[in-house]
Amino acid sequence: MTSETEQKILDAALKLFAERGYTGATTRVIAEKASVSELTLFRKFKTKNNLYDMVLTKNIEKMLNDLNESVLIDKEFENSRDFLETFVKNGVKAMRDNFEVFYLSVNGENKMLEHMLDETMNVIADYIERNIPGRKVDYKTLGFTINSFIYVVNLEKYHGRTSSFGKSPDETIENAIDILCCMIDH
Amino acid sequence: MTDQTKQKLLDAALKLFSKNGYKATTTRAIAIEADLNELTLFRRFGTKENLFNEVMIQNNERVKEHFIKITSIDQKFEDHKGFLKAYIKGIEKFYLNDFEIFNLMVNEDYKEFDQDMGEFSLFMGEFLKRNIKSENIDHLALGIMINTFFYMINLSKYQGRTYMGEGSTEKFIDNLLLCIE
Repeated sequence: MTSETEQKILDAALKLFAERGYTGATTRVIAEKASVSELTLFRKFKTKNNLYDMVLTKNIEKMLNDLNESVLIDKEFENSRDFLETFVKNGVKAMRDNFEVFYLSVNGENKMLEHMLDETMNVIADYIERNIPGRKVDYKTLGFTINSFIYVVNLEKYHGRTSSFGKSPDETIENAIDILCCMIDH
Repeated sequence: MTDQTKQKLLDAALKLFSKNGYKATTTRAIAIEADLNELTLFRRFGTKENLFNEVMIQNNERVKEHFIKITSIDQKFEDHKGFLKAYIKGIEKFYLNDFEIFNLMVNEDYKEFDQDMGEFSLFMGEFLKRNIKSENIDHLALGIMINTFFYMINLSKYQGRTYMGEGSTEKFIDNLLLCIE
């Protein structure tokens, strides 16, 4: 169980690690952002490395939880279009809610995370196949295609860029869903 | 200062900015990476920010060069499969040689990127429209889906991960062809 103080430090650390990288985010600035003393930070987390590990562990847990609860939902879909539209839109939101930890996961060199990412891609592929079975599409590649697209959509939003797709992000998402539907129901 | 020295600094800066981010990269580290004196860096570029801007300007030029190469196959293919394979080969080549350029552009809060990338996306969309005769898809979105896919594949490689494995390009093309044949 995390105390309120620990949570404040973890939240501040997550933001700063994502923004500035491990080296760039100092314990002093993290403590400042969390409105605690550096002493408190070290008392609770011992080392910066340990703090970083906790940030990753806790937030990856939350991310996977959100994925399971909000994206990989078990329900009856009207048709493949209904499924894809729901899946993509829920995916965009889940990634937005967990963006910083996903960003850290894909931009860091970490063997443990590699396994987690690989497993997650398999789970996603299986979920898609369960809901739209028997199509000629390669499901793992499809999942990765969707995931990559969703990641960059969120990356642009994270940086406050709204024009990089040429059209609005929302319109781009709709059009991407159309293409996916086209692949599935060709 | 020679052009060679300037280029060494730009190369080192690109490598480290891409790997560690702008904020975490020091001019000292860049100088060491370039095997040069930090004084040389300051004499030529003045500040870290200025060095970053010059890296981005050069990046922009390189992206344009790549774009010209990639679009040299304009209307040279009769079939969609042939076109897609050649187009994607061009994109893969870009990421193989210059992954850091695009990686740096997407990961930094570089405002100019918004407009530059927007224009680039529109160009790509028009290019794909000329070469993929398919009425039921938006070519702009198609270009973005292709680019983001290969960005993530190469990001994995850049970070030493290989979880998508061999054959992912072929499978990706096959998936696309289901839609545009």
